[in-house]
Formats: sequence, structure tokens, C-alpha cells
Amino acid sequence: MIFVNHIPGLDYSFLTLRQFAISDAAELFVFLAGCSLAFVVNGQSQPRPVGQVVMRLLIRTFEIWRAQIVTISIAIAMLGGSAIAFTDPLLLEWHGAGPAFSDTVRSSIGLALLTYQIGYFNILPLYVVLLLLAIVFVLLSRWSLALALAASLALYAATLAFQLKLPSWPAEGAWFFNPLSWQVLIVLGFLAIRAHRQYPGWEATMTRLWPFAVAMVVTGAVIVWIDYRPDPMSVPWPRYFYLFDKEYLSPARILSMVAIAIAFYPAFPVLSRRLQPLVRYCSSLGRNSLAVFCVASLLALAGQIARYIGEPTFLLDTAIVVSGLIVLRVTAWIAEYQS
Amino acid sequence: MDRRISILSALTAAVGLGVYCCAATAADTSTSTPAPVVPLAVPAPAAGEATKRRPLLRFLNPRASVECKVKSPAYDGRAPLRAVRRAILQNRPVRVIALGSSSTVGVGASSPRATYPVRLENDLEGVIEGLKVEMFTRGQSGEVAEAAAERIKTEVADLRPDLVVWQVGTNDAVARIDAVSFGEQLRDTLSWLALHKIDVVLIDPQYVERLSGDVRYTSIVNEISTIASEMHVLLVNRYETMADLARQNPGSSYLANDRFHLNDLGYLCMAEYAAKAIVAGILQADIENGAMH
Repeated sequence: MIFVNHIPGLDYSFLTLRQFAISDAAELFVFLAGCSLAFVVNGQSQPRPVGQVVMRLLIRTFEIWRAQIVTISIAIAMLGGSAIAFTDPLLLEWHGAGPAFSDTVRSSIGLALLTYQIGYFNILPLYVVLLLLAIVFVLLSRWSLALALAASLALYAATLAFQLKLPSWPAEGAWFFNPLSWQVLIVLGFLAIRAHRQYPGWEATMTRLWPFAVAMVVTGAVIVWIDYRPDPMSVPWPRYFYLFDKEYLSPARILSMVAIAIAFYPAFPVLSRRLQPLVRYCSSLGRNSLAVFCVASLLALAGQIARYIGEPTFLLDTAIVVSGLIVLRVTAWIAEYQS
Repeated sequence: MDRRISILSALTAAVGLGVYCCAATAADTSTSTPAPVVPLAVPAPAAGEATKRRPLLRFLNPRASVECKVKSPAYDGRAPLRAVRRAILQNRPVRVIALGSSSTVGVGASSPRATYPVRLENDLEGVIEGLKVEMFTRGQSGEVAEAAAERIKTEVADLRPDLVVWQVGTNDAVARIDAVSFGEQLRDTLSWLALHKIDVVLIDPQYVERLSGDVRYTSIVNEISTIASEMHVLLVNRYETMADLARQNPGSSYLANDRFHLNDLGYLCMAEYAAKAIVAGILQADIENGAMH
């Protein structure tokens, strides 16, 4: 979905989540990352020792950081190579890549520090910071899930109220995804899995919430369909609580994501029986999510360049999507073969 | 009586505009020659006080460097910048947000002082007596208009500017966004800004020789022009003026070493064109105000 989302103007964009919901693929990615976090830090039956948990999270953080450095370097090289190949300096400018070519010294430092990000390659830096923050929340959850949730919500509320943000550098501004507010989604994903294991009544609660979740999903779809957006000039302070803001992850986006998760949860067993080939395909991508995500991001950039150089037609868009899906499956296969 | 005052005010404003235009034309032939302060529109006098009227705003000629002189007009349209004029009359700094991509950030400039927003700030402060500009530079990283729309709204809500100078369209043109959907998004954002009485000056995409025959690229440039005219928004003709500069300067002396980004001279010209458009907009508001009384 992120692969299609990252090619603006693509004929297949109507299939992406943001066409039907207030939240989009980024929220889904972070929420699922939170769910998988629960499996990383906890064994099947007994919780892992604290030292082991911290070490596993640090190793995973380093892995994501390394993936970001490699992916963004290839992306910059693709833009530079295309600019030379097609004699088109405008490509050097894409997605804020300009400083990588015009201010290489400071941009190189920014790349390593993750403070220099280019458009569509800004989710992994978010993930790195989220994993570091998650160490605190995971440790708190060992005492109490409610305590971890309260700490996460407090940081989230303070971030929105006081507009706390991480600065970008060397380009002026802030991170496209604000980790201080997005942390709440990874914590929710993590706590959902923990609560599922810890509380026997969790399933029943989810079942009771199901009709409300479906109603919220439908309401969200209607809001998107009528293209309603709260006016930032008209909402009360602190305004990020009332908007659909992506940088700060306004509550409406979180509610949308949580409602989608609850509404579609009972559908998974049915889908896995009825659509076995599709589920197998998606599972293979999911099991190798990091490699697939990195390759998908680069494929999306290649797709953008192809649409820019050639004439974008339905045929070209179809070729981009089909070849992309094949390459992603091959990526997953190679990753599994390696491991 | 009121009618007579209205006619008198309109006449005075028209004379003021005539003096300004003559002065501006003269200045185009010289390099940044300071001109005498020219009174423009007059305040609406109270009944019976026609003889005590005093000028509201005082303008100098905008900077007009010889190197930046081009055949194409620097800007298109006639739109009053009422919010900016109001801020000047209230003796408070005019809050300006400069939105855009690398040209707004200043890639290719030798120093931050040579970037277009800083030059524009200085140019405006030098043109209108008593004007202080508070400039907020917000370069966007490759965002298309659809994605930028929400960000612009929150930036505007946070900063409460009087004027938004929006360099728009390059990213959409590059991403091959359909001109019609781009236009709808642009219209929507401009309507929202108008609803909240925030003045806007648009700057159209950069001229790139390779794309001069590219229909999709030029269709975005044309769409911006159409919408600016339809919605009565001032448009800085960056595409046309840069094309003129490219024709007049085969050595591309206005470009940085990468032959793409503007250099100090390029930013100087861009700031001058934008300043001309803004001054014309303030002047229009001043005249309109005079003519209304």
C-alpha cells in the first residue's frame, strides 16, 4: 500500500487506505510495528529479562537506522543518476533532495543523524526514534500496562498542546512525522497484543466494541468522501487535538486506525480461509517487512521517475504496479532464503 | 457632498497611481536609483475636512536592477493586498510566510542574506515608508499541492500572516499530477485563504529548458495563471521571466554552478519581481480605499 501511496497521481491510488479513511498506510505501518514489538520483547510464555529486552530493541533500532542510511543513499543516487541520464537537473530537486547535492557536507552529517530526510523516505527515521522511545514504555509496561499507556498519552498530549517537535537539519523545519506524538500509536499496538495475552476478557471486549468500530469506520469513510476537514483557523486551542493533522497525528487519525483494527479483526480468519493465495502473498511480505518496505520505497521512486520521463498512461501505471508487486515478492523470497 | 468627496478621492488616487507608474517606468532603466517619496492615495476625509487630507502610505520605487530587466511582465493581475495595507496602517510588522521549495530555502545562494525571502523583506522595507516585514520562510520538501494544503493551513493558523507568498506547482508538475486536479486543490486552498482575509501572491514554477516543450509541465504553469486570474490573485511570472533571462543571458549568469538553482543574481531578480507585485497590490488596496470614500 505504501508502494502505491508513494507514487502521487497513480491511476491505482483509489485502492489505498487514505481514499476511505482519515488515517492512511503510515498509521497502519506504525500500529503493526507496535504489535510486532510485543513479540520482539516477550517470549511465548515468560517475559524476557530486562537486559535482553533492551538489547533486542537497540539491535533492532540499529538495523532500522542502517536500512534508512542504505535506502536514502540509493534514492539520492537514483535521483542523481536520472538527472545525468536524462539531462534534467530538476530531478536533483525532487522531494527535498537538493541539499544532498548542493550542501553535501552538512547533508551527510544530517543523513547519519537522521535530521536530514527527503520526501517519502521519512518513515524509517520515525521508526528509529519510536523504537528508542519504546524502550521506556516497554519497561514501564512490565509494572503496569496502564502506567505505560498513561506515560505515552501524557507525552502525546504535551506534544500536541505545546507543539513540541524534533528539528530537521540542515534544512530548516521539523520532522515530517513527529515521533513525540506518533509514539502513542506504536505503544497502542504493543499494549493491544499485551492486553490480549494478559486479560482473558479482552476478546469479549473487542467483540462488544465491534459495532462501534464499524460505525466509526463508516463515519470516517463518509468524512473522506465529502472531503470534510476541520478548519485550523476555527478550532479551539490546542488546535492539533481537533484537526486531522498528520505531522502531529491528531486524535481523529488514531481513532480511525484503532477502529479499523477492531472492525477488521474478526475478518482475518475468514479472509485467510477464502483468499488463501492473497493471504500467503501478504504474509510473505509481512514476515520480511523491513526488506520489503525499503525495496517498495525505492520502487515507488523508480515509478515516479518512469512517470516523469515517460508519458503517464493507464498502461504504464499498470506495468509499474504489477512489476512492483512481483519484485516485492522476489525480495521477500530472497530475504527468507538468506535467513 | 459625499459624492464629490468620492470623486475627489478617486481623482487623487488616480493621479497618485500615474505618478507611481511613471516613476516605476523611469526606475526600470536605472539600477536601484532611489526616488523621491511619492504620496499615493489619501485617507477618507470626514465631511467638510477635504482640505486637511494627508497621504496614508508613502512609496519609493521598488528596486529594479538592470540585470533583471526582461520583456515579460514581472507579474500578472491586479489584486489589492488589503491585509498588508491594514497591517501597515496599524503600525505593526507585516507578517509574511514564504512557501515553496528550494528557491524559497535558497539553495545556490552564497549566504542566507542572498536568498529571495531575505531580499524580498529588505526590498519591501526599502520601498514603503515605515514598513517592517516579519518573514517566515517555510520551504516544502517536494510536497505536491494536495499534501501541502493541510500543512499550509496549519502554518497559517499558527503564524497568522497578513500575506502568503506561495511558490507553487513545480512539485506537482514534476510528479505528473493532472493539471485539473492540481487546479482544484489550488482553488480550494486559495478560497480558504481568501475566506480568512489573508493576502496571497503566487509564484509559478521555475523555467527549465528541457521542459519548455513538455505539455504536462506547461499545463501546470498555465493552470496557475488561469486560476490566479480567475481568483484575482497576483501572480509573479517566474516561468516567463526566467525564460527571458535564459534567452538574454546565454551564459546563464543567473544560475548557480549546478546550472539549475538560482545564484545570488537569480534570487535578486526573483525578489525584485515579487516586490513589484506586492507593492502593486498594496498600491491597489490604497487606491481602492481612496476610491471607496
